[in-house]
Amino acid sequence: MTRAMTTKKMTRVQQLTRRVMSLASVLVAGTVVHSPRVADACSVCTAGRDEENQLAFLLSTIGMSLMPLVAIGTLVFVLWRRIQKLEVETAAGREPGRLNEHTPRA
Amino acid sequence: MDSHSNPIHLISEERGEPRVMSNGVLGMSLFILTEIMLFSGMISAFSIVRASSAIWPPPDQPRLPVEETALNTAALFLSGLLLYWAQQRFKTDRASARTPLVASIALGTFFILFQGWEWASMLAQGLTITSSTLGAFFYLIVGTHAIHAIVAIGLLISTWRRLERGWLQPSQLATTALFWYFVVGAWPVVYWRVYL
Repeated sequence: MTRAMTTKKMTRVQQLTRRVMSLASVLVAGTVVHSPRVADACSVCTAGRDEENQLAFLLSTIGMSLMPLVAIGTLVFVLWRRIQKLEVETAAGREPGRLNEHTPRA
Repeated sequence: MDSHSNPIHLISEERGEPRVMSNGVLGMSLFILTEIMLFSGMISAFSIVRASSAIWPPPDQPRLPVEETALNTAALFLSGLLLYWAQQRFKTDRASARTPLVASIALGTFFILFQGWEWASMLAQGLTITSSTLGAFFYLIVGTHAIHAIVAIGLLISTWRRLERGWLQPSQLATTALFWYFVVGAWPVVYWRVYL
C-alpha cells in the first residue's frame, strides 16, 4: 500500500517536472526569439542606432565581401581572354606576337 | 580550333618569355588586389564613422578644400591619360613616347606637391591627425594614397631613365603604368568619400 502511494507520488513529481521543463523551454524559446534587440547593443560600436549607420555597415559589408571576388575574377577573366586569343593565333598557324603585340623600333 | 592537335605554349620557346602576361604585370596585378582591399578597409571604416556622427563634418574643424582638390584630380587624370598615350606611342616608336611620359611624370609630381601644400594649409588651420576623427581619417587615407603616388612617380622616373638609355622593355612599361593607373583610379573614390 505504501509502495503504491510512493509510486503514485513519484509519477506526480515526474509529471510536475515535465510541466516545469516544458514551461521553461517555452520561456527560453520566447526569450531567444525576443532578445535580438538586446543582442544589437554592441559595447564598442554604435551599430543599430540609426538607419544611416545600419546602411553604412550593410554597404561596407557587401562591398568588402564582393571586392576580392570581383578583383580576382577580373584578373582571371583577363588571363582567360589572353589564353583564348593565343589559342586562336596558334590554331591559325601564326606565330603569336610578343606581349603588347608589337616590336618597337629602337 | 583543336587545341589538342595544336597545343598552345604559354612560354615562348625561342625567347623564353611569357606569352599571356608578363611576370611583372601579373605580380603587380596581385599586389594591386591587396592594395584595393587596403583602401576598401580604410574607406569602409571612414564611412561608418561618418555615418555614426550626428554632425559631419565636425563643426570646430576646418572644411576640406573641395574645389582646389578637384583641379588636382583633373591633373592626376590627365597624367594617367598621358601615360596611356605614351604606352600607345611606345608600340610604334620608342622615342616618341618620351614627351608624354615626361609630361605624365610632371603632372604626377604637381599632384603630390599640391597635396603637400594642401596638408600644410590644413595643419595651419588646425586640422591635425589628433584633432578629430575627420583629421585622423583624412591624413590616414590621403597620406596612404600619397605614399603610393610618390612610389609610382619614382617607378615612372626609373622607367623614363630606362627609355632614355634604350633599355626599356614593353613589359616594364606596362608594369609601371599599371601601378600608376591604380593610383589614378583610386583617387576619385578617395575624393568622393573623404572630400565630398
